[in-house]
Amino acid sequence: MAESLQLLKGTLDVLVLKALSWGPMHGFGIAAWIEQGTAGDLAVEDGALYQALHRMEERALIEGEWGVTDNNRRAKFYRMTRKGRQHLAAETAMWERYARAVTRLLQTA
Amino acid sequence: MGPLGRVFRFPRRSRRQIATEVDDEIHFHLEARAEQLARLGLSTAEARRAAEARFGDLERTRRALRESTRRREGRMRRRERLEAIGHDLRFALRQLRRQPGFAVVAVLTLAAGIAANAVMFGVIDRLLLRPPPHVVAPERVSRLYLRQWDEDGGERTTANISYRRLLELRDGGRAVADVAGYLADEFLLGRGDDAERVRGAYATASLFPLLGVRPVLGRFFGEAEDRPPDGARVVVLGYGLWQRRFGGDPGVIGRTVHVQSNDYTVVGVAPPGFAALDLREVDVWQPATSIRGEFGLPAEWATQHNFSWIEPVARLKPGVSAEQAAAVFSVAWARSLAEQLDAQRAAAARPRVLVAPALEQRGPQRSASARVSLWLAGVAGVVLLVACANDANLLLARGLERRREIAVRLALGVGRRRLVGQLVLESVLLALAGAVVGLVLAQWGGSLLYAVLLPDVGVHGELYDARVLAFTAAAAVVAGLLAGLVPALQASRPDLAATLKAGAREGGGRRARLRGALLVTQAALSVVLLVGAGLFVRSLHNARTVDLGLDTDRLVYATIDWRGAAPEGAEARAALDAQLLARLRALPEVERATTSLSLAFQRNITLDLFTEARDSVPRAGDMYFNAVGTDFFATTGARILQGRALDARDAVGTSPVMVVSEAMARAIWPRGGAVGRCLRVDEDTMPCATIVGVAQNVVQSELTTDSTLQYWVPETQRPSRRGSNVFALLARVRGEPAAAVPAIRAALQAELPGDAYANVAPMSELVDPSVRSWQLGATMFVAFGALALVIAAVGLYGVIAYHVSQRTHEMGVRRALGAGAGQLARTVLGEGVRAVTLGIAIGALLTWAAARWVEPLLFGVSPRDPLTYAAVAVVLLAVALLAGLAPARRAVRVDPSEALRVE
Repeated sequence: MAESLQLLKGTLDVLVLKALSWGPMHGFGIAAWIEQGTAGDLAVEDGALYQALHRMEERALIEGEWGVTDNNRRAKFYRMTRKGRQHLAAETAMWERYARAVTRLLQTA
Repeated sequence: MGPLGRVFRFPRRSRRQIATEVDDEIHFHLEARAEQLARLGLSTAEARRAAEARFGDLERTRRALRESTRRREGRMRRRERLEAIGHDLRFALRQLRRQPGFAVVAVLTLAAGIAANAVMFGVIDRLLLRPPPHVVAPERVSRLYLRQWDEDGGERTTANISYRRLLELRDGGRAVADVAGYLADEFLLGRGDDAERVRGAYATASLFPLLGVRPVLGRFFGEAEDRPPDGARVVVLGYGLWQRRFGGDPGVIGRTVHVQSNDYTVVGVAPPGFAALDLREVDVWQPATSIRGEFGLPAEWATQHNFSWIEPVARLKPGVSAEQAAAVFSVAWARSLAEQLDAQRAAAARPRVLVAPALEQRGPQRSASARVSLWLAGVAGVVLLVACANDANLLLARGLERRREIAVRLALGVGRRRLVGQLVLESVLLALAGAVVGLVLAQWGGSLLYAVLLPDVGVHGELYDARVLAFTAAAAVVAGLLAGLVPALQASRPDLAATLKAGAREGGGRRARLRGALLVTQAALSVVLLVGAGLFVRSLHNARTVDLGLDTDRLVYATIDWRGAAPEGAEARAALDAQLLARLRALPEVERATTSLSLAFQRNITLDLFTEARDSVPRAGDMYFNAVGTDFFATTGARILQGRALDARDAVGTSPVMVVSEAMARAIWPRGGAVGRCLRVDEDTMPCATIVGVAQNVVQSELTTDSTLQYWVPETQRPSRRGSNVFALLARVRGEPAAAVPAIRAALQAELPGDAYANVAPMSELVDPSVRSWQLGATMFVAFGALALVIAAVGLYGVIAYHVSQRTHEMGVRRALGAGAGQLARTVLGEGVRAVTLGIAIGALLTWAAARWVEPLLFGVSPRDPLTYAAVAVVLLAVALLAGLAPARRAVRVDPSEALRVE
């Protein structure tokens, strides 16, 4: 995947929170959601995703709980906390401002 | 966490469990990914490999995930524990609120014990623990003491040495330490009515860099300003004085102030509280060499040894031990002494330098007050133990009352450890509340104590510093644990539930024994305290009733600070002295007045003495010389035992006479017949002075007068080159001495020329400091002993009353069976008396054993004084009976039918 984009620092957290805003998901579900949504343009190593998940759990942005999948397999599901929801809102707003600013500059120049 | 969360906790997971959990999560992911890839058409093996490739470094991720899970786990557990403590705390407070009476008694007794400890810690901390303020690396700073043996074989230790000796020690010890010196004293600051007594000090310029202190304003004086023979007329002000007298004005630098006899220029201000190694802040620092100008010393003073005053201070070089330094300084001193005397006498004196701690009270010249304070600190600890024992007893009783509640909680599955924790927490809470109340008590009692009983060690106000608060909190927690642990363990015994079901009234034999043991402990400790109190009270009484040979209740003394205004010439001076004496005698407040060359506790003079045959008098100890005015004996109240007193007959030019003290007469003429003999004073060529009388011993420098050898000659016949001036005026007043002081001072001051200043004070002020250690001991031991007694009495009453209430049923049965009222009362009273008797026996044994160590602190009373022991035993037994009286009455009044109907 040499041509795919490297993730900016902190972006992965926002993507995970966005994924979880639809409801609880397990780690693979989140990975699949990101791949689908970006059509493979963003390179996320699966291991890095899990490290991010645990880090966010430590920061109490998300909560993990063991549950059962549709086809009856045991998996750890993540759920967004209230703090996570606030974080997502703040980050999204900032991201949009940043992107707008950079885009405008690049287009006028 | 919800209400259930408290009972069903988050399960704690082991490292293995955490590892498995992480493995499971990764495993699930790899499987799901492989399945996804297989659906795209890869073979099972290919899909698995691709899944692992997409995952990245499997091992590293696994490690990271495990670690993060563990961290999260730890944090949750901590939060849970905190919540549990918060819950227990609220629960404990609820429990205490439910029984306010119990809480109040427990808090007050603990408060008394804690207050005693806080006060004593404050004293001990100042005297013995806290390093002197503003001194850098104080552990390397030492005081030096010089020890030598006299020709009589007596050992003498002194901190005061000549300036020359200080320099010789400094030079000899250069390899191991830096040396500086200072001497703190009382100085007069200002002129005329504006003059005030302040704490002043002469210090070598090297003192400040040696200690590492920095001025808050200006500078300290330097070496160039402190060169013999005359130091520069510069001073550094103490911070307190600068604030008080100069309003903290920075413009004070360069101003001129009048100190003692001269004008000085202010060059700096020392930091607050700076006292070199002493306890009391110094108000004025002067160069050591400026002492010449104050005392009118000859130009060669700094190269002579005949003026011992300055106290040496050393800072040891890194890596040098106190022993090494002492060895080097001892050599330097031996050399210095050999130069002064001769090699042989110097060697015989076996000179040795002691390198002692910077805090004076930890050194060889510890004051009696400091020693008594250490004892009192121990005593305060005992008071706290008594309070703890009392608290433990109350808690035990409460444990019984709470049997049902505790059984229910045990049955609900609350762990025993948690339960004990809760009960101990209650006890600690009580103790902390006690500490708060105790600090209020300590503030009130402590400032009283410091001001009245310890003025000589200079402990002032500022009780609530961080160290005292920290100590108090620690003491409270320890007391709470001490008192709470055993009762908590008892109360939470699991077999309690069984006892409960059986409906037993008593808490079982073991518990009763435990409470009995606590009672005995309290009684024993009370005995120790009360015996101590008794011994100190008797010491104080003995010290107060010692026949000092001075009627201190009627005497006022006056000394003059001439401050350079003394009249020139012996005749003019004698005329002024006579004028002052005449003025004094004319005052209506004054009954009699006289003059004296020496003054007890202030100035003593010893001269050589020779017999008729011009042999020197056998040395039986120091013999104190005094030259006195007519009427001396009638004024001071010293009785003449044989012969006559000195009087107007002994005028100038008459044949020389003297009066000797009883002890001296006995020392020189053991077979009697002193009157009529004669002695030559000062030199063997002097005319022989006939002994015309023998007087009782008069106090000189210590309270025991038996050993003071003294002789008095008429002022008119004084060897003229000795003591050039009358040192003190003594007045026997009508009425209260303190009341006469202002009038006497005003009268004398009016006669004085220039800056001269009259110091006037009751004679008792000179004597009191020597009685102070017993006064301190007596007051505090009595206070602490009374405290312990009250606490023990409350405990005794509580326990007996509780027993009676528990045995109401039994009493009823016995009454119904025909037991008499007296018999029941005896049963109840006997219980307390038995415990107290055992306690008295144990306490008496303890005190008896400890007697050896208190002995040096007592005065004229044996530490095994039977009267004291007997009195204490009687008091304690009386208290035991009194404490049992009310419960016994209640027991006797039990109505049998009522008691039997219960349950």
